[in-house]
Amino acid sequence: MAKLARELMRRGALTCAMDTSIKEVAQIMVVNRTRYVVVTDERNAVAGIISARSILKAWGKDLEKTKAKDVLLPYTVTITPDTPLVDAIKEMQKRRIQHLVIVSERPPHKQAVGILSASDLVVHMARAKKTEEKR
Amino acid sequence: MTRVRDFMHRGVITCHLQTPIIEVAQIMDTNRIRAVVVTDDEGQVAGIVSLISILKAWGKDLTKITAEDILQPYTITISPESPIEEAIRLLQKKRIEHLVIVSPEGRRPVGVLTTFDVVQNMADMPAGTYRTSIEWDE
Repeated sequence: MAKLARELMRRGALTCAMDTSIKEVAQIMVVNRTRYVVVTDERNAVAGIISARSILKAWGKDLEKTKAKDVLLPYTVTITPDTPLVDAIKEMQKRRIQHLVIVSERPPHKQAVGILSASDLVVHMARAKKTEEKR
Repeated sequence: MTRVRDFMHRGVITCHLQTPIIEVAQIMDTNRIRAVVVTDDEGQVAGIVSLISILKAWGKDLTKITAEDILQPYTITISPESPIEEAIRLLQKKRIEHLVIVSPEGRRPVGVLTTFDVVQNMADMPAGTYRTSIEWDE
């Protein structure tokens, strides 16, 4: 059976609010050594994601005054823990992004439950093969 | 003026055009990096294999596909002396996470500049001045 997002996603996601300053978003990335921050609205639903590339839009601007909502990549496609990994990978390739937000399937809707990252997928590729070689 | 050399990493992890993708994935895993620079027989930059490009090989036989099959050709010329604004523009325009910095004389890779290197500058926090409760290197 096809592998599902739940098998390789990380549970939990780093989030910020729509009006979090870009300076703070950059600090969240650096402190946690991640390349994404999920932006949530006042109902805690996923509004979008900020990647290490999308945050560059704020370069040269006032990083205290520029807010998360100004640079986020809007959330468009719903990826749940039960989405096949091949579909998630297509979405990463299409949008050229390295992180997908995984949202809950059950209410409350659009709550972030995890993150699927391209680096975790590639680590899986590197190690899956090693395991086979050992057999 | 801030230049590329102020933010870039010195030294580049490379593989050859003929390196199988399984090895490229292992290079990324072992070194905890997200891109490997592909060089030709002369040691010049031919392309770059990023996380996104390596995913093209998902589900396929990783021993049969080589770096040459999936690399993104790399034609950008940016040197350590280029202004950082030019690098940031390129990262956004080309929708990439890594810029390979080449020597002014040839196309030998001398360093890498990533989007995260710029983010670190935007965060404006000197290394070692912060703590985190989450211990992962993702």
